Amino acid sequence: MKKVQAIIRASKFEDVRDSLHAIGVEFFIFYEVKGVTFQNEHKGSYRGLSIYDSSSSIPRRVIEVVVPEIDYLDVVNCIKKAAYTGEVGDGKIFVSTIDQALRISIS
Amino acid sequence: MDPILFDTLTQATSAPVDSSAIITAALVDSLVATKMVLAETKASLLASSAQNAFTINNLWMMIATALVFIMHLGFATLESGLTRAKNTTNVLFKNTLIPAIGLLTYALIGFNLMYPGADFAGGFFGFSGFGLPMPEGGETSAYNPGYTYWTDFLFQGMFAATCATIVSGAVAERIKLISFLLFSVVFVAIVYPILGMWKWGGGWLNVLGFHDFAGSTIVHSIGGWGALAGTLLLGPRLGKFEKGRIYPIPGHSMTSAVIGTFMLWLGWFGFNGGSVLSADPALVSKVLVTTSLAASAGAVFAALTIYFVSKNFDLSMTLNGILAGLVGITAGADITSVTDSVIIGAVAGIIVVFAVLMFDKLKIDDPVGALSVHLVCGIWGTLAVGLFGSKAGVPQLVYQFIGIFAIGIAAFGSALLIFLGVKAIAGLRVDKDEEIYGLDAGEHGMEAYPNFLSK
Repeated sequence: MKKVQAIIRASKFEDVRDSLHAIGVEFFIFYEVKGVTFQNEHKGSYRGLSIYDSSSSIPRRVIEVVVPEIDYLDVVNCIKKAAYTGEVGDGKIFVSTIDQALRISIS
Repeated sequence: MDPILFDTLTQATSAPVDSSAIITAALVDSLVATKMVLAETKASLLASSAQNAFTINNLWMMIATALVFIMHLGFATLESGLTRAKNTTNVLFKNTLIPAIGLLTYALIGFNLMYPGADFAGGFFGFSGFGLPMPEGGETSAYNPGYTYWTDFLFQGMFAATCATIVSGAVAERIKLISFLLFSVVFVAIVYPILGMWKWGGGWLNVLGFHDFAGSTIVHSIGGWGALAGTLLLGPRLGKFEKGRIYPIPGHSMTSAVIGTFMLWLGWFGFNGGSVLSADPALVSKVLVTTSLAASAGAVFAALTIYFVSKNFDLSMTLNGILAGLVGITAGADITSVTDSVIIGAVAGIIVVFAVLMFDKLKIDDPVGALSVHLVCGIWGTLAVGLFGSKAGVPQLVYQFIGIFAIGIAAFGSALLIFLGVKAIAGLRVDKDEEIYGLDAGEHGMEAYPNFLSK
């Protein structure tokens, strides 16, 4: 089994979700994350005081899909296609091997 | 038909020879009677018109009382909006108890300290006894043509609590709840009424000629001085001034702040409009106009000023601008022209922005801008009476300066003493862990938003 973990733009989440459903992925999880760059950026101001923050201003989500080894390239290509804008900051995809998967409801 | 007239008429028909004299006499009688009836009607009409005027005056004063009351909701939502979510319950709790404490202490001693009556007029201190003993005729126009004794108490009582509410915002997010409440009790029960008496109770500032229509100094600056004493003793919030830099600590709800500010603007119609102390159609409507125009000018000029300073349209600063305009016009709302009120509001809107920046530079941490709005613009509004309107002139400006300094020294000094006393009894500041995890958890054991995970 493979786990496909993709950091994508939050704005492309709906596109990726629909594409994954279209190729037959029934269930996956996602979570909201923030990226951190190596330097503080000026992010605006509050009551005359500048706000500096090193977190990236692009809202991001991470999605995780665990699939049989035979299917993972389809999933990777599907995400790559759906999450693509061509601009810097489209995100990254990590693939790792899963040793074992257990379903809690089946003893 | 009048029986006498009827008799004379029947006599006239039966004996036409003597009729003319009798008819004349009867006509004179009836004219006299008519005149008497008319006089009685006139007197009763005048009496009922005076009674109606009294009823209308008193009704407006009760409406104004309700409007000042709703300002406490305004303060509560504004202050909670401009502070962090983890301290919301604490900020709201303070603003809930302050009007309650204010009214109770005002009923016990405050009202009689502030309005001790003619026997104490012209002095620094007067006290006419505990509680609310209604004087004879207190419920009629004999007490005052504008309001009854009860209306008088409640209207002034609503003002009193405003003072401590101003302090609440400046010391928010780090003061111990019990310490703040102890301070509020003493400040509202004793300091505000005595200093208020100097002007509104017929005290020495009133004799001098100091003019403060609805309380730029008497309410807002007194609260502002108390807030300054509190912030100086408490020190800044953790994380505000670190490593030689100033870090902004954004408030958690701009929606709440906007609701609060508009609630305060609404309340100000009663705060200034009620300070006419009657329903005088000309003066009340004029005061509402100067009040609103000053608020509007304050908003516009604060928005423009902060845009030129930091290149963004800062909503919280614009809201402060509205309040700055309102506080600025409060001292002279009755005697300034329409143009004057716009200028006073505009200057207040500019001042408030630079005041916020100045307090940050001085490392005085004021989460909601209470010092800039109520203290700085309260002083500006009081001075403006000597610069604009029918009383403008050097002598009046001198009186205004004397009032500002006298009230300033007395209010700041007594607030400092009370805070030091409270510090000795209960301490002032929550410990570091409590400040980090929030006063909602530490002081109340409950959160304002229990279903949100992030702090």
